[in-house]
Amino acid sequence: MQKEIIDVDYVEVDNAADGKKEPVDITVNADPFSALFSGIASVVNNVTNSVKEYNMCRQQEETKRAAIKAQLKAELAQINAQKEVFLQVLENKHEIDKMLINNEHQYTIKLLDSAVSAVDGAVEQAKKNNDFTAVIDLLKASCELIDMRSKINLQIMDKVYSSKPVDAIDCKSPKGYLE
Amino acid sequence: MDFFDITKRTVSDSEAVLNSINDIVACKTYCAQAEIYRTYLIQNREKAELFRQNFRENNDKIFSMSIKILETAINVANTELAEGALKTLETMRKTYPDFYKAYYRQLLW
Repeated sequence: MQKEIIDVDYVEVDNAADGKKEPVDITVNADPFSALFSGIASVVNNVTNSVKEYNMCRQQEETKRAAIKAQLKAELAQINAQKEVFLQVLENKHEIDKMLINNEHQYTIKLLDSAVSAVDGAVEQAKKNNDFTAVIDLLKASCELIDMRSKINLQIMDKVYSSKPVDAIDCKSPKGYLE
Repeated sequence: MDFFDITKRTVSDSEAVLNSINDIVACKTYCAQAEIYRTYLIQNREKAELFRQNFRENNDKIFSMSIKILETAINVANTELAEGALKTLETMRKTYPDFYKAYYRQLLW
């Protein structure tokens, strides 16, 4: 019997055009139960791999967060320490300035008290003698004393306030802070 | 798609955390600066008040002395003595503008 030859037009598909040259093994299980079990196994495998990857990622992120928190704690402690140092420097300067002001005041009060006593004594003497020249001279000296003490007081005020304020801590502007 | 990449994109926000940490540090620094400046202003005010109290105490003594002499001058009818007392009061009064200029200048820092 002569074999019948069928001519068919066909086109060969070249998988090398898109760069993938992976050989694919296709296993066909004729047995339905084997197919079921291999499907379940592949699902379980995928789930296990996913859980493993998630745990890895989570641990990495937790480590990074712990490092960031530690860095924050250290920086806040540094800021607090610097602040305390500046406050202590201000307090020390304040005490010294108050001492200076009080000393100057005590000295001025003593001078004024002496002047007032001298004038009072001169007035009592002048009432007896009816000669107030000494009192007038003492009053002129009092005017010079008042002028002089006032100038010294202003110099001390300038000195106490002329010192530069404490240079505050350098910092960057936070986002959204209005200048 | 790799599940690791998906998880990483979902879970990883360390950069955002870092930015908020920087903001926290900057805000803390500003608070510290404000506290230091506040302390400085309070101390300035204390010192200014001390100066003012001392100034008034001195002037009270000068004023009472001058008024007593003025009364004596009126009683004995001595014009030179009265002029001397008034000149003392005038000298005391002339110290007021400079003192209060310095006083208010320090309160404005």
